[in-house]
Amino acid sequence: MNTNTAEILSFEPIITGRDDEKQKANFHEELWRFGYEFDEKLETRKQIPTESLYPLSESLSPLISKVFRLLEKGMANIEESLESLKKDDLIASDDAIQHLIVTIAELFCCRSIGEGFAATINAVLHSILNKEGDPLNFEEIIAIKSSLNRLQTEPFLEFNDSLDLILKLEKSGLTVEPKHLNTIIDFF
Amino acid sequence: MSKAFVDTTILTNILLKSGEIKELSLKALARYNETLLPVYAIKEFKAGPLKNHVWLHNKFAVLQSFSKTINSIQRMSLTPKRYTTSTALEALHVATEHFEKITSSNQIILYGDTPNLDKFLCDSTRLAIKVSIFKAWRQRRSVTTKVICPLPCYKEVAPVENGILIDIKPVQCSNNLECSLEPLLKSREEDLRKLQSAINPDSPKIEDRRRLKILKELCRKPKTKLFDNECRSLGDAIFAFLAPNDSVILTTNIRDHEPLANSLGKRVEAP
Repeated sequence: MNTNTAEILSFEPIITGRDDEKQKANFHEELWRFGYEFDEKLETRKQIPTESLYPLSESLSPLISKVFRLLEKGMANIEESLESLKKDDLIASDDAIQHLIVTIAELFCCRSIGEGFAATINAVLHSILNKEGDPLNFEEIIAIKSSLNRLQTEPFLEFNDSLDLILKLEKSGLTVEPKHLNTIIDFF
Repeated sequence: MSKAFVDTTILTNILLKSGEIKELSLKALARYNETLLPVYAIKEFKAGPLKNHVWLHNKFAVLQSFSKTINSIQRMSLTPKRYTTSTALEALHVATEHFEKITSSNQIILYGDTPNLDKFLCDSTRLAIKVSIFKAWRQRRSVTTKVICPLPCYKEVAPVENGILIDIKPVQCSNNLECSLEPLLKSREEDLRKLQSAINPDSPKIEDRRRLKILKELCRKPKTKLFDNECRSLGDAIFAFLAPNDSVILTTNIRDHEPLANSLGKRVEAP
């Protein structure tokens, strides 16, 4: 089931006028089929949590269930870091990132989920490790947040799509390659 | 307006390296108003450094062990310098520095063999190389302000995933297409002779001897056909030949490029 926002937005042209009740009902039905709710009052769309789309994940795939829990934990670490940064508490912000490293390392243990997932988590891990203890700045944390956010909705991300996330990490100033890669490449 | 004609070494540093080496090459590009990349550099890049990266990735994918792969590539070291055990150990040391602390026995209990350090390092390295390869291919045409000197005889085919491996073929020109450089090279015989004169006939380097042989044949036997091997063997001479007169050839390999470029009245600069 594809929860990609872009695909849902493609349904917009179906509605020609808000007073067309039948069309609206069809539109709601289409949204529901793809896991979205339509809030009439706000005329916005809410996304059903990914866990609701995978209700049997615990029994069908303990690994995917673990991945969701760890991603949620990682996002909590990131939110904590950002909040601390806004309050100019660099120590608390950095400490939250230290916790994030451990979460990300554990997420890497779940890399059999897929190449896209594995490549993204690997890049995030090395992005933080390559800071060698220096705190992450706002742009860097946001780039990492963006990666984990995408994995929350698309844990089975294609490898090609993971490149977009990794390029975003690089654009924020992070180094995504492991330190030892240059040493190995020097063999050539 | 300052122009740089960018060679394969600069392209490689920007697309496949990181840290200071990459930064130096990027800063070098920024010195010029216009930076020009011939498609020939992309061809050399794919057939050389990118192909090596693919080989390295596939090595990690097949051996599924960081230490085994490092030992294997150390034995096969592609440079004339034979790297010592200490260099291999250095790679292992640098790699394990970070990871020992974050993989623990608890994780082995939870995830089985997956957090085993050797496997962890192997997969982490393999994935980083894979990202590097596909990123490099995606960005190859956006490193410089312009890509010039198209080669209709060479198709830029992207690397593809093939199960756990990566496939990079073809790295050669299409055999059934006429070499697009051939008519251009033959139309400037005087330049070919100048390039010949820049190469020491007694050079111990095989690449120099090959280059000289092909240049001579192009002059003496106008009906000689240029195939992929000969085209690749011309190497640095092609950059000297194709570089616009108002540009400098930007390369890390000054030693080989300079005599060839100077023979045609062109300049060479390093990052």
